Amino acid sequence: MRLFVNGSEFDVPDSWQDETLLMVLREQLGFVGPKLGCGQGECGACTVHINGEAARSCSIYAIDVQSDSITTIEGLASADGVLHPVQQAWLDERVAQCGYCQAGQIMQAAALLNEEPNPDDQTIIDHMSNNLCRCGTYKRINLAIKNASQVMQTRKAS
Amino acid sequence: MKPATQKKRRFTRRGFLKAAGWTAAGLTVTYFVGREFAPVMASMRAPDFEEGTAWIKVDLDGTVRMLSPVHEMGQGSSLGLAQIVAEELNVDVEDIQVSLPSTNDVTRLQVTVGSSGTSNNARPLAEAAAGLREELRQRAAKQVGLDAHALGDAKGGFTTPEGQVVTFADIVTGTNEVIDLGDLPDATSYTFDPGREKVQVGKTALQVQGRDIVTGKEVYALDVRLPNMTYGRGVPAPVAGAQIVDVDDGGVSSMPGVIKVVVDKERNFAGIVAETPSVLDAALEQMTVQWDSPSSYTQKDIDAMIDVDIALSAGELESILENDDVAQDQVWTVDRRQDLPIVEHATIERRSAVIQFSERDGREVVEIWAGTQDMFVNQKKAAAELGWSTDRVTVHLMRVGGGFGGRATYDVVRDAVLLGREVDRPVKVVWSLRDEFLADRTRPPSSHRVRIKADDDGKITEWWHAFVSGHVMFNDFLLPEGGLSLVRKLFHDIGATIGSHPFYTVDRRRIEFTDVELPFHVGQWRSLGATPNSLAAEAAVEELARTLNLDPISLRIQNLGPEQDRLKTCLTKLKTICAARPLPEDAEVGRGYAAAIFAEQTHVAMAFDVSYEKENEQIRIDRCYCVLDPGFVFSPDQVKAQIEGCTMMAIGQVLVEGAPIDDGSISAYGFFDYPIATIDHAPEFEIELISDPSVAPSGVGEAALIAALPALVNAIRAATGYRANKLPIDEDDLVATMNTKG
Ligand code: FES
Ligand code: FES
Repeated sequence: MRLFVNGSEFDVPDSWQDETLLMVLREQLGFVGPKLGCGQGECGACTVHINGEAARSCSIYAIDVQSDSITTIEGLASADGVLHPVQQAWLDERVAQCGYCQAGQIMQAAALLNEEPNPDDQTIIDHMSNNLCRCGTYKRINLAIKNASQVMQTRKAS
Repeated sequence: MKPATQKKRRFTRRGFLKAAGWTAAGLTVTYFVGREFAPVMASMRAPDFEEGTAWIKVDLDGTVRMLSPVHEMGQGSSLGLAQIVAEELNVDVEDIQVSLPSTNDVTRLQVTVGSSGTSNNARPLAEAAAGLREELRQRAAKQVGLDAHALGDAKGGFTTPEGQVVTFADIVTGTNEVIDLGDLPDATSYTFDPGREKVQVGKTALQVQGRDIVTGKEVYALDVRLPNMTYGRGVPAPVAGAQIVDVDDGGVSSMPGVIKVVVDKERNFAGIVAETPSVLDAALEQMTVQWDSPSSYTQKDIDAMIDVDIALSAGELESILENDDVAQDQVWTVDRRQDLPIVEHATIERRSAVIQFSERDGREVVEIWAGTQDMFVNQKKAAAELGWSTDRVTVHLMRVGGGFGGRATYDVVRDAVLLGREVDRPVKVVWSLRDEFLADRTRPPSSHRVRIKADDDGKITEWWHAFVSGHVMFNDFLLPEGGLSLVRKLFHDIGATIGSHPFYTVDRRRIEFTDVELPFHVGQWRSLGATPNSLAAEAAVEELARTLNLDPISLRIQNLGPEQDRLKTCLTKLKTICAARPLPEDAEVGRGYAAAIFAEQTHVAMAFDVSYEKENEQIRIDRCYCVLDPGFVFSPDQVKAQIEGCTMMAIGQVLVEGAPIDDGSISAYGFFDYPIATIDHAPEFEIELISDPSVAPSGVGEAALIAALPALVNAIRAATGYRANKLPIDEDDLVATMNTKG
């Protein structure tokens, strides 16, 4: 089995072909950014992008996404290490507390801004409300998304 | 003076440094958090902690490094402490490298609970860093042939009167030097000098590990990967106290990919180690464990055990905490009941540990990576489990993905030990979400009746708070199983009664309490019993203001004595902030208030604006106002983050949280059964901090929760008339209340 992750191709041993995408990413390929939260599609901690769209890697089998392009939070920044505007906004707003849910939140937010570059409050809520954060960082998540959205639009305009 | 011991200690410290990989040349200062700072908690009662505890180091290139003297779980205290070190050493906090220690690096790390991380460590840390600064100044002075007093401070070094800068890198030489605090020159802490303008302390800075978190680096136990690693998990007990009777492994030992089936009835443990996570799941599914479970219970049973009115009808409660001859049969101005449900920690991270047995110097040793609020209790218990001395067990402390009081026990590390010693490869143990919920030490349900008598002007004359709760502090965190029931019989639970004494000046008070033994796991949850007690009290006080048609803030201030000036200031400021945002008159909106004092130190006043959305028959939390005075604030943004987090938990508890009982036991196994607050619940925040460098710092991780819960309940009452005597609010009741209102 082969997976295409963060721009590179990886071999996955046969003994791992019954595993979820999340487990293969984390345990076999070492992309530990996506987190195991609930493991059953309820929390969003495991969110990655599959062909640019947010997906819950705990609820997908690796074998089913062999022909897809997968991005984890490790692959969100540009190759030269410059953070994605969403990551930067997360730092600027100092969103994280324990941080455990944040990789999933960031990936979910980045996918939202791909789709809707200038989301209003309701769009943010609709898109983010299934990503849980027990530390309660929600207000800052909202601010960071707006902040990133602005940066991305200014960049586009210039 | 005991020179022999001194020598030995130094040797030990070097040994530690070596193990920590900190052997590179540089200057390290060790300091000690004295015993007097230590509360009686699991880790602190160990007899062998004579010395400690943390390191501040200046490397050859001038980099300042420190080992965090607290467990880090998002409360951010390691940042506040790093800001102190930065202040003392004149460097930018962003330039300080903070890491979490292992049991090899330090001899003691206090259990991180009760929001005490910053307050306990701030001063010793500041003094150590100040001493290091003065030592560096003396060395710099020697280098330039001047008196130390002649050197001024410069960023990352010192400056001569002529403007020549001597950096730390210039001063620190190529040897590895370790200095005891006692051998450092006298120094005055910059942080605690009230007259001094602060540069690092009090500024907004990025959390320790903040950048790693947004880029997906390895920071949690479950991210640890070792060569040749396997995956293991135990079978969780279906209910508290269940004992294994029989295990039918269903042939899984011969299942491809299964490495070992471990059954240890004596330890009440059964588990499996496998090659991959999915094989592990499949094998666990196939194995059948028969349990002898204590008898089941229903919601009704538990409600009846906790019901304060049933308890009162049988006479006075078990413990009379205060009694000023309050006449019990009088007419009360307010008589209010408040019930709270079972609350779970429900963190997003599950418990996990990675374990590796190996050989060192001819002895078998073990290394464990775990996220915990108490690294040493895990080390000691793991050693005891193995029958080993503690020096053969190393626990590497990892960041915790949310603690809230639930990560201080020996649990997943035990599973790792019992599985890891059966195979000769490293094992990663990650609990399932179901495991988490089954084993959670929940906040027990409680039931309160608060009766207040006041004159027409709002002066409170009599106060009676009776309450029944499950145990909060007396569980396996504090005591071993054997001693537990005896202690529970002999003493009232000190965790459940926290914050039950009113801070108002009241002529006569009666506080009485019964703790009941519940048939499920209970324990430490953010703020312990302080939140339930505060909710009961502050909702009654607000009701008093409503009954007497008085302003709720003025009524509170009026009933506070001169010793409560800090709380009065919080309330007065809150009033000003709220006044700037008048509520619309016509809509179904309301504002509620509350005041609280956490651990007699942190003062807080909060208010919420709440509205009722007719179209979808729902409560919306619009705005949160908070004034918090925790003494000296080192890291204001982290304090604000804690307030926001506490607020979201309070919102969750008012609107949705509460573990149901069904089928004979608690029946929450995940976030579908146990919803928590989400982004659509987040209000706008207006937060004001009162920081006074001359007032000792106090905890901020729980204070806002204590005020937020009653303020929310009071706001809902103001907006809708619904009293929320029982949490979470019952939506049908709420809608019915609104409909009767018309
Ligand atoms: S871990 Fe995938 S949704 Fe929770
Ligand atoms: S930051 Fe802790 S769960 Fe979101």
